[in-house]
Amino acid sequence: MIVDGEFTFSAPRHSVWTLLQDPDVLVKAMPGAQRLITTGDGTYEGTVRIGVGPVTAAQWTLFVALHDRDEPKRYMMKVDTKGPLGFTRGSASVELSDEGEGGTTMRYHADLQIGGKVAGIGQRLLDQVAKQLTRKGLEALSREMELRLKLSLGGASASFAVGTSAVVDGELVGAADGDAVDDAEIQNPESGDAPESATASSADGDAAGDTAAHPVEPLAEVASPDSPLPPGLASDPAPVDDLDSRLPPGTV
Amino acid sequence: MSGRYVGQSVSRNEDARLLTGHALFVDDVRLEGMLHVAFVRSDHAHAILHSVDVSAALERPGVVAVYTAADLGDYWRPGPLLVPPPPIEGIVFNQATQVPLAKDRVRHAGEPIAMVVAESRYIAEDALADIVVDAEPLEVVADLEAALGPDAPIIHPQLGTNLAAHVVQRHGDYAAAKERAAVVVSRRFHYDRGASAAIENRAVAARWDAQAQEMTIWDTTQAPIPIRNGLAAMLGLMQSQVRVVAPFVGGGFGPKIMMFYPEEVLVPWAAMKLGRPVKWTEDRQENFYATTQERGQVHDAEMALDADGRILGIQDSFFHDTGAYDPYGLTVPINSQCTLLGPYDVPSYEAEFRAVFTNRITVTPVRGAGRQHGVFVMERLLDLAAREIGISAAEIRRRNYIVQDDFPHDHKILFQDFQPLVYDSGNYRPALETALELIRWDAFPAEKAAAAAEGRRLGIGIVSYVEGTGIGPYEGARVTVEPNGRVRVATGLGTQGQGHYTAFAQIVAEALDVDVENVNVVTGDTREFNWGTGTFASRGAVVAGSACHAAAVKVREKVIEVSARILNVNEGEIELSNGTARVRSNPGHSITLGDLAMRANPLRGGVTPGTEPGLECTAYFGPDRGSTASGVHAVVVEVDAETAMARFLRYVVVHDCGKLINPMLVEGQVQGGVAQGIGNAWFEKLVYDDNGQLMNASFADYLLPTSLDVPDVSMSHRETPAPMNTLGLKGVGEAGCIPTGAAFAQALEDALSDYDIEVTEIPLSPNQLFEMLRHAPRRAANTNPGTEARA
Repeated sequence: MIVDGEFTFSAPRHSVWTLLQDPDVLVKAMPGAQRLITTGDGTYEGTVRIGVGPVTAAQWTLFVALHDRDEPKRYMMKVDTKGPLGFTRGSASVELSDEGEGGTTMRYHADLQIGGKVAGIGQRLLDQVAKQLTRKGLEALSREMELRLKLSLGGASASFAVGTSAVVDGELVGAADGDAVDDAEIQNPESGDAPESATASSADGDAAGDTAAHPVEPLAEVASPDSPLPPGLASDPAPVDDLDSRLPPGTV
Repeated sequence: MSGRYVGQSVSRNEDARLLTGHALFVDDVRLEGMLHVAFVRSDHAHAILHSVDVSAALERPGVVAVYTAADLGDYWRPGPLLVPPPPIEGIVFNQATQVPLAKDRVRHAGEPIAMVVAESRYIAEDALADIVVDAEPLEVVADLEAALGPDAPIIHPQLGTNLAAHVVQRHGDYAAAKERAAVVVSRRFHYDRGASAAIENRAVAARWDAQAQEMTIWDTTQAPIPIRNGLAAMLGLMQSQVRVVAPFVGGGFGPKIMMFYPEEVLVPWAAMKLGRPVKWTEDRQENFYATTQERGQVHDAEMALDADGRILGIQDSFFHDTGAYDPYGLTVPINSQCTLLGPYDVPSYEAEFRAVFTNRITVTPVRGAGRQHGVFVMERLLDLAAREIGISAAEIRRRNYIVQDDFPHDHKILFQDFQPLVYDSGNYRPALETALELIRWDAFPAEKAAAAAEGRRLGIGIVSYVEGTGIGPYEGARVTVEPNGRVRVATGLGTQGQGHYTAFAQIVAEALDVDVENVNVVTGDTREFNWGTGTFASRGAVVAGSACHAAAVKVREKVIEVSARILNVNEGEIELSNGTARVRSNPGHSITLGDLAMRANPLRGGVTPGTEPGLECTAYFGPDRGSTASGVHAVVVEVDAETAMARFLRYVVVHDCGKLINPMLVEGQVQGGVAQGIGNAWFEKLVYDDNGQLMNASFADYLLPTSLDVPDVSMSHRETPAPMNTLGLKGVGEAGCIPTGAAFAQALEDALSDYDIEVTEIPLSPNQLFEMLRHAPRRAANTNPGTEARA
């Protein structure tokens, strides 16, 4: 199965590059992601909870390894997920290019092999579901990026701190945000009744419908003491103020 | 014999029970303390199995045991080869049979890796998620030709090759025939099949009675006696300690004659080990992975003909997909090879096939058992030749039929029963003529034109086939008159809805002149009858029916002998009538069969030495070869060239299955067969991707034809009695589904005769047809001589 397309973030390329590899950012953006930690330089492990059509949501373990990184232009990923409903294996390429006024266009191309039960009965929906998950994920990623960038400019608005994940003194506080793609149980797309009733995150942090807030690991687990971190991240979770130092000068 | 019962459409004895919920199916078996089973099945089509961690599953409340290959110890072994290769000269055969649980390697998606036994199926299935399988994926063998290439990954390393078999059979001299030929037609054909999709999935339940030292197994099998024998040996028990019951079974269609499935082998073992009854029932999704199926062949075939369209010779070379294992030997491809010859006189035949292992579910016979593939090739070659020569589809067949006085007709190659392929009897031309009449062939051009004026496209097709049926080795039956006058019949094979309870009762009722409703038939219980092979290859009625007849005739002789003694007359003066034995010249002087049975079993006094008690006899029927059934299918289809949707408007079957026991049952078999044939032609296809993943393991995506898609079949019956058995019976179980693909292809081409298309692949789908039409050049309307030249 091929999943490809492009998406434009309203953030500069260096930020996008960094945040794309930040497990804390990814875990919030990936639909159904429950947990994502770094296990090495460019390697990640986590769990996601996803269902496809008639296949009820179940937990999948996820392994990702980045390679051939050419900062901040492109990188490759190897992806492996395994669960009671089957597996996926494949690789993806991500390319970033500048777009307009401080924006970044990401082009992605993933080639995935799907196996097991989900391949046997989810077939008709897999393409659509993959597209939906990707789209929601990128939109959520984009929002998260914008949020972080705004926060890094000095916590301008108090409302951003309410009901959204924020890093305070090294610990993640607050329930999961109003991004309604938590615990993505995507029903038949044609029926139009995906449980996520809001596509825009709501600042008041209400989770939509029956999607529960997913438990998010405290940031302390994001980086294990022994493993090297992706470039740009301090070994201790950085307090909000230090985000400044990671951004190229002149970034808005 | 035809009279009061045989030859009549007697209502089925078993229907009342089936329709009021009083029939036992395996899943109905509920025993105290019963445990339930679920299997961890491989997600990968080909992988090294490094480890299986079941510890978390064992912690789950309600889980009683979890077994992997290592836990089976000596019990773990590959299953037996069910059908050895036939003694064909130069044959290459590589055996690789399925294992109860994967040990070092998995070879198809769905192969069982671990067995969970729990208090309920819900708990067992939940526990599957607790089990961690460490599997290292290997490259997958998917393409038949590439599988034999030098770089192909080898599925069975001990064999060193993916070649399961190489078989060449020939008679005559094809090369010489081709030299002389006026017309040579050659093509590549693809024929694929699918799952049997029986309404009842497989199930096995077992109880080990440690006090009586007896094992009872309920199994949805078509072969209870061989299962009993094999499992007894595996479990270290005497055959007499094991009882296998195949109760009412909701459809077999072939995959239930596959034996020693992992689940069949493990459930009784677990019952013994745990000392509690154990049951496993397959759900529909599991069925797609756990139960065998039939799949595809790729044929490169060529036919050489003279200028009149007479076949001089045929050459056919094909690849056969046998899946990950080959426990059923070469039954399917040999059937393809042999059935290709059809009802035609083929002076030279050069036939070769290679069976290939692939990383897909194992292939074993499904209704038709490979005959479809051969028939498609032959019928398509004839159609293509007819077009080239300029004669009609009907005419080319007429010119090539084996003539009536050329029987028995020896094709000089070996059939699936290891006997020479000899047609015992047949008369093919009249069947064709009848079919032409019933489908209204002569009036069709006008019908087609009238429809075209309305913007509708119709097409017509007619095809012919033979089917070897009623093969050995044997079956047996025991007939007993009980003191209450009812008659009990027991036979070893199983019933999956064919109506054996009625057909066999009719045979016995007629022989003994009793009411058919007073005859109780028991099948599929090894305690009731000890010897036999099973229900397969359209042989049940022929072989077991013949045994029932033989046993009933022996009982009849006993009745006459004993009643003559009791009524004090000569045996010649006794006649049987309506459940009594009476003196012909003095009918009032009589005795009921029930009383006679009692009198024949005295509790006191002496008997003439050598007398057997009661009115009971056992008889066996074992033909040295099968009898040849045959038929003609004719079909009218309607096609929409814009949407590429097609439907069957009319369907005619003229079949010759010898004498009919019960015409209603035969019609049911044919109608059901046609439904499966239509499914095979247009709806059903198991879609695997290049990684051996089955993509449509549910009825949402594996399409079955509905009642709206299958027309009522008009049937006509012909009878060339089989010389091999007294009743003159031939089999008909598979007749309905064998030539459907070929008929459909011919009719499609006729409906779309202004497109230059050739149907060389079955099944087709609307998508495929759409693409074919999109790329097909147009030609002048209706230049297909198949419909023009109606000689």
